Amino acid sequence: MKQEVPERGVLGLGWRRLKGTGSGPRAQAAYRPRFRAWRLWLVGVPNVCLKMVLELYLDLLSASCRAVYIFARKNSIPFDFQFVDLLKGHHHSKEYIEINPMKKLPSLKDGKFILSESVAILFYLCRKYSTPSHWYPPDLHTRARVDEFMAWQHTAIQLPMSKILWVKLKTGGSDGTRVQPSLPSPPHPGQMLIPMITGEEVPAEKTEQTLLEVKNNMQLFEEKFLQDKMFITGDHISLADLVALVEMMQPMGSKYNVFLNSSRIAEWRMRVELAIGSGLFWEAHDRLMKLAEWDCSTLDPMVKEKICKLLQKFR
Amino acid sequence: MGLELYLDMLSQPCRAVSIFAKKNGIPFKLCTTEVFKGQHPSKEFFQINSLRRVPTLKDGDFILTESSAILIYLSSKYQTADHWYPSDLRARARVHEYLGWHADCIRGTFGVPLWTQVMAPLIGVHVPEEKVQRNKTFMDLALQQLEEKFLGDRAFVAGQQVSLADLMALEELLQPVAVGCDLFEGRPRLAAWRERVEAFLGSDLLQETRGPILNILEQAVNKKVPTPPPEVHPCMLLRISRIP
Repeated sequence: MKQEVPERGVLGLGWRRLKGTGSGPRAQAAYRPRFRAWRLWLVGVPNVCLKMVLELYLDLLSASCRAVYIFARKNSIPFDFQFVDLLKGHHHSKEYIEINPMKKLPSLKDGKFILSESVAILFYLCRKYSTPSHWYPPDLHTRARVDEFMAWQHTAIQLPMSKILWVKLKTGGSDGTRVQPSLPSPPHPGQMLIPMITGEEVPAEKTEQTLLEVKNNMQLFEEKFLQDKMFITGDHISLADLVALVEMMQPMGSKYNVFLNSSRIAEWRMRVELAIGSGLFWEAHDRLMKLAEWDCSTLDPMVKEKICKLLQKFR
Repeated sequence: MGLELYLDMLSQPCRAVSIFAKKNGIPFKLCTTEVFKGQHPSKEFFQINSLRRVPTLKDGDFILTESSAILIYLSSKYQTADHWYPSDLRARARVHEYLGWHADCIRGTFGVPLWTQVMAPLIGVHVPEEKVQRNKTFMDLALQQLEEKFLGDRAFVAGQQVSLADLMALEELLQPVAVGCDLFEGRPRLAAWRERVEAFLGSDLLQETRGPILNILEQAVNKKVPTPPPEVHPCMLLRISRIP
């Protein structure tokens, strides 16, 4: 009976027959992987690591996802980009619910460890990959300032900025000119997400309220967090700047530019973009900037229903 | 000049900070700031805190707002027991995961019943029933997620030991309880968690901290809650308008 030679093992490195083990049915047990250390980095290491690579579940339409994406890319953290298309409702899929039963993005999967919430993910990546300390400075007071901003931004920045994307009124051209809600020209019908999706008009009063809230909070951001500094913590970019900027970019999806009110904020915006790298920054924002061209008739009906329910919060 | 904490015990995050500091024997000067008695937006307070928020920490010249940031600061500065804010990478990530979700789904939601039942009526505002019911739905959903995702089979919200997350969660959940919404009824897992956390913190400490909030409903019924002065009405109206 011809002796079977075991297939090439996991590391693809071949087998070596042990001395004195003979042949026959038990011969397989007498083989062990031939170990060529120098080949490991070529074949073995990537094969093994592929099973352990970090997975990030993202849709760059979401500001929280962009923060995680930019941070990971900027710090050369290797990861598998798992695209979960929000517009097609993939965050409601059976597969994604197993990752995050709350159906939210972003999510991180590191082996068996699954983590949600962008701020938690950013802090985790910082520590695990020992990124440069300016991202989350170890000094007690400076770190506290980052923590303070990260807590404040949920309701003060993230929420109103995403409200604009849903509710916004677009007048003027697509050159990023400032939106003046009181101007007589009607909004472009394709640009108002809530009416587009739900068929309901948003009361002008609600829109004005949202825009005013954004204006006030941008002022607070400038007075309290930015002040006269280059970045929120001082001379170097930190996670706070990254999160702040990606959130403030959200209304750009509806062609509304919040950076026009203050030269200090506009200059800070440029500094953060340059610190990240313009290429990476705009690559991360590409999907958002193209949202205006989205054909909402392709929206999954089930997702549409869920969006209608969610939008009750914005009334 | 030692640590100063500007707190209003009607506020959930203020109670969390107060309980944490006292439980850990952190010495501080309590600067009681009773938001709706007009002490909040005073010029002096404004100089301390341009965000006009409570809680606020003042440590020498260093001023800090946001309860989660304050709790983390205190735990680091005073080297409190590891379980409050674990040094382990993944355990700490779980605390941050909870705090992130808490900011979106708990904050702003569980404070609403106090507003609809006590604070809004004080300034003659009636919150529509539709909003009251919607808030109830949001609370139910949040409690379900709290039980299933965060508590699960664990003893506490972010792990097997009490952490900052439990403190933040519990004081928020207590807010509607204080005005008669018993969220823990029909939720044995949540009720058991509450008992565990409260047993750990100690009833004396809790009674002392929760006195004002637990008496608020009775005071309101007996019309003993002072009417907020006109200067605080605008920020109250703003808060009420934000109820979805």
